[in-house]
Amino acid sequence: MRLLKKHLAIFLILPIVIGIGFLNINIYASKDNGTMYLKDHKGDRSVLQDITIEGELRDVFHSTSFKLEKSELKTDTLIYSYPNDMPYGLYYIPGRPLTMNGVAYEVMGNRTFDIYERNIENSLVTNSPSQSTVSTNVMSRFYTNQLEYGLTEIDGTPYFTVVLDESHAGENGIYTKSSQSFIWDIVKYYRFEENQDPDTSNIAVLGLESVGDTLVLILKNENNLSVKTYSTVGFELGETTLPNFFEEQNDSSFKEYPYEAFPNDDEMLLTLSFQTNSAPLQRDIVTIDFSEGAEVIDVVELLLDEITLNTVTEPTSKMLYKNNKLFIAKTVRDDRPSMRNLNQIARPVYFVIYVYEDGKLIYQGELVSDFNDDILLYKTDSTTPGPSSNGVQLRNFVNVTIE
Amino acid sequence: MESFYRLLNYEISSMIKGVLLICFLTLILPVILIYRTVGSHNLNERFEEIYASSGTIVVFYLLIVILLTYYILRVYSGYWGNKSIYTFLTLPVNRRVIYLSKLSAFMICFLLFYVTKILSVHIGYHVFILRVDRIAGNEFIMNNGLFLAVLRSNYLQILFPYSFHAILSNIAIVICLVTSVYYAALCERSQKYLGFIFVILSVGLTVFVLIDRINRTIYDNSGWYISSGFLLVLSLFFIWHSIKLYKRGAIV
Repeated sequence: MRLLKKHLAIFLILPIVIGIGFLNINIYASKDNGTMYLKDHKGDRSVLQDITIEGELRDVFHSTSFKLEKSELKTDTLIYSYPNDMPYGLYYIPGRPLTMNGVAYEVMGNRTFDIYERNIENSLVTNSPSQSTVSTNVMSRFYTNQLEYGLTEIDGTPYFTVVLDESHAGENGIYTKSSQSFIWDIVKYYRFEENQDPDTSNIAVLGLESVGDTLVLILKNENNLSVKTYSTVGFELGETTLPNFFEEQNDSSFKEYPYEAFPNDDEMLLTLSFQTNSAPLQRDIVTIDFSEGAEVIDVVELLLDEITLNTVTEPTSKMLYKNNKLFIAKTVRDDRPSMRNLNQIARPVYFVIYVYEDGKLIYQGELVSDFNDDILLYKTDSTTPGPSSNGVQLRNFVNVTIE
Repeated sequence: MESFYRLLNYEISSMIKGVLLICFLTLILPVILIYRTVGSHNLNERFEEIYASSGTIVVFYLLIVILLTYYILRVYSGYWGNKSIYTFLTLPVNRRVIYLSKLSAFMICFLLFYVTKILSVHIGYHVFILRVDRIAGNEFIMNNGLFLAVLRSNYLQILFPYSFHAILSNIAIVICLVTSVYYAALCERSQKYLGFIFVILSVGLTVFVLIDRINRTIYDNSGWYISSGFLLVLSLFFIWHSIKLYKRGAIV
């Protein structure tokens, strides 16, 4: 007791230093204790040999990056010194700005279109947009999609066309903008002879895409899907048609044709994933080869059975057609009857990987993570999270790529 | 050095009972508060939310105030009762050593308080998990929840600093807090009331830094370093001037 009293300082300092060190390090050393592994539901994961799926599961405070390469998963967790904003607009949601090359685009107007560009590399909020104008000869105001579907880019240069429906008989065009200009220049005027006569008019423009250095005009010709390709200076390169791709339409009510486009620039392939009007959970996915002209090489019907798309936080949807296989990485929300008693937001979200070959599902896997732990918050609470919850209270998959 | 060590042990042993009582409350109160707060109505809430709503944070600030008040009482006890301060000043040791030994004792006791606090967070988390598990099974338990709570809670970020600038800021705040409280007591004893200006300045700065850290509004390293530097410079001033007051015998 006397010894203790005589050397009380030492007897205190040692456990204090060890305690402070251990209790702090113990917290941060557990950064790698998160869940992240690949679970096979169907088929063998060796089919993922040819591709690399990368991404991050992150909030504003930390990020767990994952890399699925040669069928093997590697993960690493990074803690940010300062809260780090979530990347914005990685996925195009109709009605929201379209992001290409770190620039968010918004299109407004008719006949004369104002295009707003905002650099979002640093922050979306602080940058005021720069405005430029496209003057067209378009008289119609009936569009097939959001106007942003008419935008694409090649090597940082944007291109634009107007997504007009089949009632438009006049001239449309593909426009481009040189870097500092405020007026867009014409690349190529085009018009459809079929649309001149109201009885035969049936060609609608759904969007403009690009693969490699080729511009691809996506068209709906009656119920057929057509694509027409142009060089960046407006030469017609080729075209192809996939018959009876769209469903028969009985009513003439207003319809949109939302789709997602995933180019594989190395192999000159473009994969288009269309939402179908009758079954909102079905995707009709078509891959077109542009290496010589244009040729449809693959059609896949993806039926998302008893799941809905994850729309509360920015959903992930990535596709790649490579080596005769279609690879899909998607976040989907569980919608099975057993989950229906939960709030929409509290239903689990899964990161799923599908692989199709010759139109058949050969592999289905899931990247299991702690994503759903964050939405436990809403399990008994009926409030819906605001956009500010994204990243602060909820983790999300970002920067997902398939290569 | 030997006299410093002997004095240090004397100072610690003379105040350890009071400090241990405060530490005991620091350890036990959060656990009771967390246990009480978790119920079947808030199972969905995360640990950091339960931690905040249970009142644990207020209790923590209150306990800091109690600890610092206890330090002041320790300084004043030298003037009351046996008037040990007079004995001390006649000891054949440098008066600087007398000051530094008491200051070091205050520091060590503060670190003891801190380590008990972070231990109580760990224990509190396990109590939280056990309680939730008892009520609803593991359905509501987040994987790696304590790590996530520390990352996401601004308050827990102060207790568990991750980056170097946050650790430095914590060190500066603690040193400044302890030296300024001690200095304030010495100023009052020696009737150097001008010194209170610096004490108020340091308390104000500490509060501003803590508010900024809780709101996470400091986004660049220089802001952290400047505030920590200011606090450390103020601490050095407190130490320098306290030693001067001791040497002059002004404190009696």
